[in-house]
Amino acid sequence: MKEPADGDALTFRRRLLADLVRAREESAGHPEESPTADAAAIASGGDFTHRVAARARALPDAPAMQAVINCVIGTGWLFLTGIVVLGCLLGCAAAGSILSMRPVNLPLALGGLVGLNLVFLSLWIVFSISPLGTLLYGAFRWLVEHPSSQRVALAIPSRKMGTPATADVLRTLAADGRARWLIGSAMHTTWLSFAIGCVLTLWIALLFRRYPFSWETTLLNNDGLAHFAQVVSWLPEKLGLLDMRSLSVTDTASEAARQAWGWWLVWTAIIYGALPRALALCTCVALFWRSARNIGRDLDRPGYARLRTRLMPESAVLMASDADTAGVRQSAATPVATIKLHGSVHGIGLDGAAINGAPSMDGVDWIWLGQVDDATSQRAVEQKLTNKKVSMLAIVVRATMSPDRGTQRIVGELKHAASAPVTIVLDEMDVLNARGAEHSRAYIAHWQALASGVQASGIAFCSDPHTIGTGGLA
Amino acid sequence: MSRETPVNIAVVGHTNTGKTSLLRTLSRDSSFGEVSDRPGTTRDVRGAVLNDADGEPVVALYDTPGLEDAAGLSAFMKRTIVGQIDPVAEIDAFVNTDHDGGRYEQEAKVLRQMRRSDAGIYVIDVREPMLPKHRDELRLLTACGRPFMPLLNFVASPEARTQEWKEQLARVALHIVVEFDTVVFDTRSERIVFEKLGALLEAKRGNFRRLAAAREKQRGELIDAGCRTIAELLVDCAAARVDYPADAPVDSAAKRLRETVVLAEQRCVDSLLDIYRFDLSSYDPPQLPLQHQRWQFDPFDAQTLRRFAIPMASSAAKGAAVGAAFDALTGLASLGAGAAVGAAAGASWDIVRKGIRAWGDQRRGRHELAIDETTLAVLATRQVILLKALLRRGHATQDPVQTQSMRGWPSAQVRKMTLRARTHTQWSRLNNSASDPLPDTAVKPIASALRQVLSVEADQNASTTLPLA
Repeated sequence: MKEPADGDALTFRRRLLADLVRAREESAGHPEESPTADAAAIASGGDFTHRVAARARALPDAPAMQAVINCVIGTGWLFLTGIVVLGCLLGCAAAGSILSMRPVNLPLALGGLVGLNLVFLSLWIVFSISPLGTLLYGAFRWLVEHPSSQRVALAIPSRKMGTPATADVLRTLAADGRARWLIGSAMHTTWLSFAIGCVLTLWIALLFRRYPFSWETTLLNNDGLAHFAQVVSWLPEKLGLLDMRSLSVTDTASEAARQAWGWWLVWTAIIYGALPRALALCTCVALFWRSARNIGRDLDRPGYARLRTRLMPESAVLMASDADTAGVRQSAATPVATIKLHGSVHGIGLDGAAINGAPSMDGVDWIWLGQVDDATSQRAVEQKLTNKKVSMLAIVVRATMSPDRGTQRIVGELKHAASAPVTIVLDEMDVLNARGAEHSRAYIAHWQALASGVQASGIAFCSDPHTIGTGGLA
Repeated sequence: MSRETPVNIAVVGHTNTGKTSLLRTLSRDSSFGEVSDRPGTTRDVRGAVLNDADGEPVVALYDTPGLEDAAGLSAFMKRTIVGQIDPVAEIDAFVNTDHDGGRYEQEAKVLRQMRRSDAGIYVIDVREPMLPKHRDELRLLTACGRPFMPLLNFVASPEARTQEWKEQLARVALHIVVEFDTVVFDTRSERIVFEKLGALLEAKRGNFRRLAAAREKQRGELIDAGCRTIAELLVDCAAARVDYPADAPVDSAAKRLRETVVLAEQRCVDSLLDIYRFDLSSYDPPQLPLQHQRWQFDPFDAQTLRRFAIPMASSAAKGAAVGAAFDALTGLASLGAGAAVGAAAGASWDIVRKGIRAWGDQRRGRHELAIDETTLAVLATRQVILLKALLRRGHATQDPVQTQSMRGWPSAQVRKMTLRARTHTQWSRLNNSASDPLPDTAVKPIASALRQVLSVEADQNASTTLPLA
């Protein structure tokens, strides 16, 4: 297989372009007629997926479509960058606010830095399979399909067979359940940025300043707090990041305790704040990409299937060789009549016709000379003809036989040997008619042409042509 | 993979035996050459290359003019071509003459192409008896010094004399024979053609294997695409709704619904014909016996319950999940009350939401019209029958596609998956011109069920396909 050129790699944007073209063509009911694009696709080589993408790139309005796609994706990255910055700033502010307490209350600090994060993460996990998730998606759809958003998005008008609007691009990106993973990714990116902002601020602040810590609350006693601290510390301890044996909720004043609780705060912020969000983000991104892998590759869709024979043709026609230089050799045939034989007629069966002898025809008194199907039998019959006085020679043929040059030559030679008028008699008309009226009419016309070519008297039928539906005879 | 040169095969035979039709069928190109009942229609040597799955040419077939006067040519050669060392030399000598002033030019083209090719396919119309002129043709072809394989055409015809031909060919030492009907296409027979050509040309067997594999792959892909096309039509139609004022006659809405569905069916048919490379005028679907029914909010109506029940169960589960999360957050102090309340809330939410919309429609005096199950069954069955007809149709066929009527659904699974779409009006592209693409969850189960129907029928028909020669 011809491999595609290096510059023709199947990137996501190219597959997206191909899928937009497919959706547009399916909506219009037929593929766009663009021989140039088809030729470019075939020339590009590669498998069907590559050729579909190459065709999409070669369409006349591909640059405009690509511009729309780049705009959408670029805007998406810009938006993502914005929420990362915003998230980080919010995280820094939250951590700074927590650290402004004197002393820093650890349960409150934990609640502020990761509590809300975890609550919203739990809600997201539940909502992603609940009706509220559908509501969110509905709102997202309304947002992108609302006319005002389209006007704001682009100046390029959207036509049925024209350049897709932003909404079409977003619709493709969000189809097949990808919307929830996109929204989820944005949400987790925000929270992850918040968590990273928190952790970085905590770490830098604790690195350069001294902070007192406290576990004291008004309503909870030390035992409850100790139990809570133990539960929270379980995972960091299992990961080898903390040693709880050295920590006590009652001891927060000593230097060692301050350092230990400081690290405790940082590690719990990472493990319960950043890590779950990172996992959730990776999950959403992975699920989005898994679904997006099919964009431009789901080749049994009708829009692609209709391109298959164009772009991956099963065959190709070659130029004619040994072209006919003489043109169609059809002599200007004079019409031959349909005649009814009667009286004494010399008869011959040609190429398997009338193999059982002279056919039964009303009013015909046959003088049967036998069969002609090869050179030997032809010579034998010609010998008989030259020895007889022939008033009319009837050559019986099977109507389904092909009236070719060989037959015409033999009939001509027999006519010459007989020195008498010749009639072509068509037998087995029932078999010919069973192949269809149009086919029957065509063959009779060809036999008439052959008869005309040998200047025969006419053609006749073993059976009544009207009862066998020959219609339209001269 | 190294690029192999294509195998060159000359397609030869008496005039009007179906050589051009054979090329149309094998090349899947109904516009190749000219097909006519007139003898001597083909006057040039025209070729078509058949490609493998990667689009690389592997076999080149050459359509030749018909042999019309082999007996005359043999006599001419006997008189004029003398002193040659063997029959091949005689053929070469004849080809380089003026062919008796052009009289045997057609035959010369055939023989020249045979000499240039790796092998030949000798096409026989088995409706005709074997005659001495056929033996003359076989002698001429044998004299070309190239292997050739008789291909028996029109074997599906009631006039076929298949066995007679096989016996006669065996008498002239031609034992590798293949049956193939260019009109009633059979994929198995096509594979056998390639296998036997591979047996004839051992050194080029790889080319034929690649071609056969490509054909099988392409056929599978086309069937998948055809099933998907039909599945999309069924989803669109099953979920289609037309609403109309309660005080207006239903006829106008029914007419709108009919027009929409007829248009959708025509687009499906056009897609299928295009996918299989048939002319769009090859088939005109008969009038659709459209029946409609009114969607009513009747809590005791089976369809209404079905419309509610599935999403209701789902909503209850989701509500229970939310409630369970609440239970977990309270350290199970709520004793599971959260899950119970959540389930009830989820189910209630669904009923309320849909009920409000339905009651709202009723208050506004609107009714909805949908296509009833009988019509959906007709749509499904018609498309499946059309698909089957296209799978069996050779590209040499000139008659329009004929389909017979059939009752009932193609299968229970197709019915089940299609009716599922009736409860999801948002799936139908007929309801909203700017709607989302059809979700795979809607389309793929129906496509899969249709594939299953075709596979079952293919297995059942395997024993009735053309026997091996």
